[in-house]
Amino acid sequence: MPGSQRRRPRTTIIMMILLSFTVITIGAKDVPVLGTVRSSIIDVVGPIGRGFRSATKPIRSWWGGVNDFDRVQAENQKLRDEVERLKAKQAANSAAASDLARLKEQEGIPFIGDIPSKLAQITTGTLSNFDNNTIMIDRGATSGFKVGMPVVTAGGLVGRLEVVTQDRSRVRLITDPDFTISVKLASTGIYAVGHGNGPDHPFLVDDGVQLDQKIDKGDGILTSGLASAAFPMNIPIGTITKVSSSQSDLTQVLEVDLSAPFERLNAVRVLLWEPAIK
Amino acid sequence: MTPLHVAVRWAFVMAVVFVLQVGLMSQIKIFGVMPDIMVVLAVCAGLSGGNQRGAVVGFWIGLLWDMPRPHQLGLSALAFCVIAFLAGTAQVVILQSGRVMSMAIVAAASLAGVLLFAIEDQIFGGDALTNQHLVAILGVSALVGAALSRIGLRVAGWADGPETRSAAE
Repeated sequence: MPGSQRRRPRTTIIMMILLSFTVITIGAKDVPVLGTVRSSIIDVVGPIGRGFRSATKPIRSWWGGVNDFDRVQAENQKLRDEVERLKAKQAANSAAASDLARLKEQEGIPFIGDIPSKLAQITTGTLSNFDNNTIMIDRGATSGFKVGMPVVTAGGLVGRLEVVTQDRSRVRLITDPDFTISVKLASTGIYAVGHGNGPDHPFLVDDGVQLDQKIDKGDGILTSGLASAAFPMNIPIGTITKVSSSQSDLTQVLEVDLSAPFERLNAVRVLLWEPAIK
Repeated sequence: MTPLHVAVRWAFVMAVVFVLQVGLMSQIKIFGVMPDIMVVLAVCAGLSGGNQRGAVVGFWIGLLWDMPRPHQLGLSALAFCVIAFLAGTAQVVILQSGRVMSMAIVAAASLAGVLLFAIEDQIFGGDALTNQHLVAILGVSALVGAALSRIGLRVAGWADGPETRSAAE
């Protein structure tokens, strides 16, 4: 029948659209079966990416135009890591004296001490052009990783685990605008709230710093470690590069240069630490 | 060819293109943008097999591409099935036109597929539509679509079998 033939394509596309909405709805509800399928595919994607990366390494090195590319890169990385370590140490030192005094005053504040951690290598960056705020790492639940655990480098805070499969994990970077952190100013101990601002923009602390509080450029920003915080205390986040006033809500806005080297992350350390309140 | 044969061929093509996407394309940056060959395949599926097959194949390509990505599951599935369906309605134009026109159609449809995904992502709480690199992403999508249109249509034509291959080639 011509009429039914005309309707058939329409029926097909309506069915497929309904099916897509069903998938979107089920996906939003975190149905375990779908989560398992997704995790399995993420587990498969990791080795594929690494395999292709290894296979194309000579071409990429050649493209770099330097014969001794790998050695120079490794040496350069080592030196940069050292500089970051020193920067982080400097930020931590400036906070140490005031922290010590505060700790003596307030017994019982959880102190991070030697938090156990595991090293993980980055397998791929994001697989989406629209999300530059995630990375994949080569370790997962079998290494004791759980969703929400902090991810750091020698430089400072990188992000937290967002998805954990058997052998892989996805890290949500602190550059994400939706990534909100409770922070503390290293020298003054002022508590505030900061959030990412995209990979190419500075981290922003725009809630909690009053207009009458004196803020110095170059001051370090650390994780607050408050009881409800998502991170242990005193993990370096970065240093203040710009201070401006937001007259409308009577606070100061601090622009922070992140201390972790996001543009050249190779390996990260996952802290086996879970927040008290999830 | 039986429908089962077609399904097996399409599953094989999807798996190969998916591996190339996550393995190879994720390392290539054109103007800072990763080429998206999954959307090109979805568009070619519609142009080669018609709107009905395009909708079904586009859905599965999109769903597979959604799996490892950090977005809401199902967004690419929806975008790709719609765009492959619309591309399928342009099948007759492909039949009556030359290489340049088919390149232009694949390029435009690839761009539209990515734009549709961005709109959906924005609706469902993401920020793809307000992404500062959106123009570059759309431009590269169109460029990759144009560059890979011939091979994409050939591959889709092979997966569809000889009955529908005429449209692709």
